[in-house]
Amino acid sequence: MAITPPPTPPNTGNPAQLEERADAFFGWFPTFVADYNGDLPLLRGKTYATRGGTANAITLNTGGVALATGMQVRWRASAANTGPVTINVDGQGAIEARTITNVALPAGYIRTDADTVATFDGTRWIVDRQIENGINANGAFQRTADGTLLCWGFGTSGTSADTPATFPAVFMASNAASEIMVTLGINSTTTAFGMATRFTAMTNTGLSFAAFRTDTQALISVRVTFIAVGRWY
Amino acid sequence: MKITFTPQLRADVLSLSLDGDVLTVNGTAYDFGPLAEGGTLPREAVGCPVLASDVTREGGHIILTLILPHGSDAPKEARFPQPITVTQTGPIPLPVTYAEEASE
Repeated sequence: MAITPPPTPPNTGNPAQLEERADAFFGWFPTFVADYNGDLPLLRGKTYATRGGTANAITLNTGGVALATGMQVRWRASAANTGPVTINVDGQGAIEARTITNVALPAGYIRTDADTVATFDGTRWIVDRQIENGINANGAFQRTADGTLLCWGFGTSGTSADTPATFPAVFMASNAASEIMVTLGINSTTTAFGMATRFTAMTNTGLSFAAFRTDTQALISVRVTFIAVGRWY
Repeated sequence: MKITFTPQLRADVLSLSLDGDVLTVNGTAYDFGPLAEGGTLPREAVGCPVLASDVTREGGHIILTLILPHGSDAPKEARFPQPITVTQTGPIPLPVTYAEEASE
């Protein structure tokens, strides 16, 4: 909303209207303050809010006095959320937070290693999330705000049994076989025989893999790579 | 007991304690006492959601692999955990896997 323009200021060169214009000019200030406070939530979104509260009941202070649809708040959390979250901005009341896909926040949605930005849609706080990349001993992962999880890594297949592998990040899947898509590859320079891979026993935490000679079907020891795609919430 | 940790980004936490051959995982006790030397207990038979391997007994030690949950801000010690051998009864210390909530 635009700031209401001030009336013509008083001027000693026009003594006849000095008092009238002075009254009007000073009378305009409360309107200015109200206009400014109305826009304040939209002006403060690019600065850090002062955070408080707990991991799941977040309080933020931007210096504003009201909420406005479309306003944003930005903060760096001190702890990841462990479940659904409420956000109370400038003491205006705890309001439910939702993901960008409009569901309650899953645990770990709010991070401590990246800024979090939330937008007030008039009813709830819609919380966006930076793309999250990481590695651990089981490979690499990427989690995005819309719930997509991508995992990749490799292992060495065994010659006597399928080899278990743990995904570097856990998937959310009630039926892993239908909800997590996996591609396997073989990293080998062997040309003496054909090779194939398979995976078995897949759950939301991992799978078992094996590699074979295609001529004898014997299990072989090679580096097997995997890419797995699914959802983390 | 020899425990290997396999790290995984996930939201839950792991707590362990040991009493002889009884390993308590997140409050549930698993008694591996009946497992004979050289024997193997399939992972599926144990029913532990964070068990990532079969359970064996070699050289008198119970040997198994557990998923170590960690957060997105976990230190290297949690992302690349080292195996441990535990002989003492009581809680088993684990790497820090989540940032502690800082006071405001």
